Amino acid sequence: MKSKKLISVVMSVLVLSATFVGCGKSRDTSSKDPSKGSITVLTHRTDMEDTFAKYKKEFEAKYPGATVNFESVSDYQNTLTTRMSTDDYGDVLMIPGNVSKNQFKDFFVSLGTRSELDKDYNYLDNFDSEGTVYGLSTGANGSGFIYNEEVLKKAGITNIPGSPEEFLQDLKIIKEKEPNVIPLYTNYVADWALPNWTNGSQIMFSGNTNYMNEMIYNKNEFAPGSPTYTSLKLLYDTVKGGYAEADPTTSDWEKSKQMMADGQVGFMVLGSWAVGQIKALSKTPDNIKFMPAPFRKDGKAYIPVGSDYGMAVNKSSKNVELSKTFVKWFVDRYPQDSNMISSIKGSKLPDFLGGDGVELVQGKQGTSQNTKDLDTVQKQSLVSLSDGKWVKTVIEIGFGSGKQTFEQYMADLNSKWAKGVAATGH
Amino acid sequence: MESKLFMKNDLIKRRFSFSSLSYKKQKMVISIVFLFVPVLLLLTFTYWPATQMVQYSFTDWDGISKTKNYVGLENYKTIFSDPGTYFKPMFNSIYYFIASFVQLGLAVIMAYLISFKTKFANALKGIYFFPSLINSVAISFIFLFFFQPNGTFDSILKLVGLENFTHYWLRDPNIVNFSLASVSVWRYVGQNVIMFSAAMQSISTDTLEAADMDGASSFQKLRYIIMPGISKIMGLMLFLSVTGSLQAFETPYIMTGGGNGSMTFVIQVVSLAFQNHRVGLASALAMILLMICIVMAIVQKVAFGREEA
Repeated sequence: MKSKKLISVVMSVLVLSATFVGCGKSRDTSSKDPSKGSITVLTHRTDMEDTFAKYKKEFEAKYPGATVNFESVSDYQNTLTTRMSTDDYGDVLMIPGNVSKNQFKDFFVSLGTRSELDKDYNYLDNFDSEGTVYGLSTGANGSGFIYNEEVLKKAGITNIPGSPEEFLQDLKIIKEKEPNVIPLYTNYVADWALPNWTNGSQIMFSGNTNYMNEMIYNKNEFAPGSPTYTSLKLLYDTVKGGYAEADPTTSDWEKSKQMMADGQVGFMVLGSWAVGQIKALSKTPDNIKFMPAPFRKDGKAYIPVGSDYGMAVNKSSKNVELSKTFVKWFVDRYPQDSNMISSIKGSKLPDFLGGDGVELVQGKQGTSQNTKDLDTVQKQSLVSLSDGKWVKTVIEIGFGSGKQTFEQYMADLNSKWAKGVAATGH
Repeated sequence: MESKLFMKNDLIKRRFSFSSLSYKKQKMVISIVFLFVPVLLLLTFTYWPATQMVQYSFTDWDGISKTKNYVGLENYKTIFSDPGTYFKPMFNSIYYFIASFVQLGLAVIMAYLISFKTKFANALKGIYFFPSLINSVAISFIFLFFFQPNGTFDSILKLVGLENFTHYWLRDPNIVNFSLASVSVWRYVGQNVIMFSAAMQSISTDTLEAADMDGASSFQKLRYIIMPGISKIMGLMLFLSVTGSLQAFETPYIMTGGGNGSMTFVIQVVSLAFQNHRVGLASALAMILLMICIVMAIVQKVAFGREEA
């Protein structure tokens, strides 16, 4: 009897482990009807579960027979990078920033040609590979400086600063006249907030829309006078002058929004999407304003507008048509709930963007060779424009940590970048 | 007739039954069956990825591309031609290494007190173990508040009259690693307490009672009875803390992301793989770390493990 029991245990263990081996292979077959079926949508917005639940209802009501499941992924880019080595990365997903254009065709379904989609959609540059579009922009943002007008007024500042020197002067006045206000909050702990100083800021500090393509081949990108240098120098001077939060290493994003809303912070360098979030927290939302970087070229200021995540359809999706329908529906709906500029042609811009002498510009699209070369430069130099790590180092040098000076660090970055440029054969 | 049939059935059954196997064979079958699942899990989630990593370390893979180009020893050359950059974070392991001794010391004392001196021992064990269960994001929030200027820690210091000792606990590059290492101690000491108190409970109470009769003090009991009694587990813990400090990752990663001079070797590997998309290079670094850990294990075995061999 005992042995019988044992054998049955043995068998069940074997059977159980056999099911383990088989897992992941089964896939439900779906109907060919384009408006029926079930799709999974992967997003990075772990904070928008409620909104997405609403979207699910609306979409399913509009397309009977369709089922949409949202899955919010934290640490989106890293998680997705790993998941994309399998086929299991949802039916619809946000395109992770580290997938380069020449890899699009390996992962995503074509949504149409550029000339076709250009009629209806803006901001397609990032998702267009050789004339074929693989994703639609879920919205766009202007980059620049968010400020609390009340703070500036109390310090007696009536005009927004137009040069780095003027900006620093203003910070100084704010610090002197309002000792309880933090003139500029760096958000050092939030890695994602820091590339605002480096990725795209070159356009604000040069007024040149082709700059992001030119810098790929510039061996002196971090030398004094270059836009990258100007941007980082401004950050360094701000921290060095004591105009930033006392201890950046314990900064807190949620707290900083509230402080900005309450007039305890003067400036923050962020995308325009944050304006809505801060206004929502403020009792005096009209004080929260957006301004271009303190730089003027021939008297003109520039706010670069760039796409947020693009949304694409998984190549191995069983419901491609329904997924495509969903993408189009989503990009129409989502920007309004996330304070972004809609990518649909002819949609209205938020009223806080713009003003006299301010021009909204889009970075020029690089060639596919540019994209490839930028990839090479970033990999060889280990200086990645979207990586907050080395911006952090600039802040650290500003508050007196580390053994090198700002100039030494820039020289170091410059030689690394130059090494990367050399690897492209230029 | 009937009984004959029964006999036959019984005979067939007996031929295939487990108990008809010899003891040695039975033992083997049982061992294989019981080990099958854990070994399978180990193979799929440890050894298979590890062999993949060896392969990656010879390629220029970016972590997502469908093609991996074989580049030979290029990644290793890159690392060894600039050891100053790539091995510098390893020196931060020293802080965690020192902290691990503090952690073990604290754990032994706490386990001793819990096991022999107090009521509510299980409740206390639970309390000490609790930090290990907290989600790492929550921990980073707790301690960012804790270390903020005028935060919890500074307030406590002020309360007990130590105003002069307040610092920028994370901003000051001379202190940041001590702050982080102490968070690590807070977080993991409970695990050691559990291990040690389990080991202590296996020490025979007769011996301890005999020591009491002979008038041994608490310290003498700890020194001459408890410590030898838990030496095996102590050896294991020491080994884990050496490799653990080389692999220090989570606490500094969630608190500072490796900024302000708190970069550790593993954070560097992760950021190379995911921020710079150099999975090949990162795998090569991980291989080097694996080699170092293996060497450490051998050294430790030779130095401490003589009586076990």
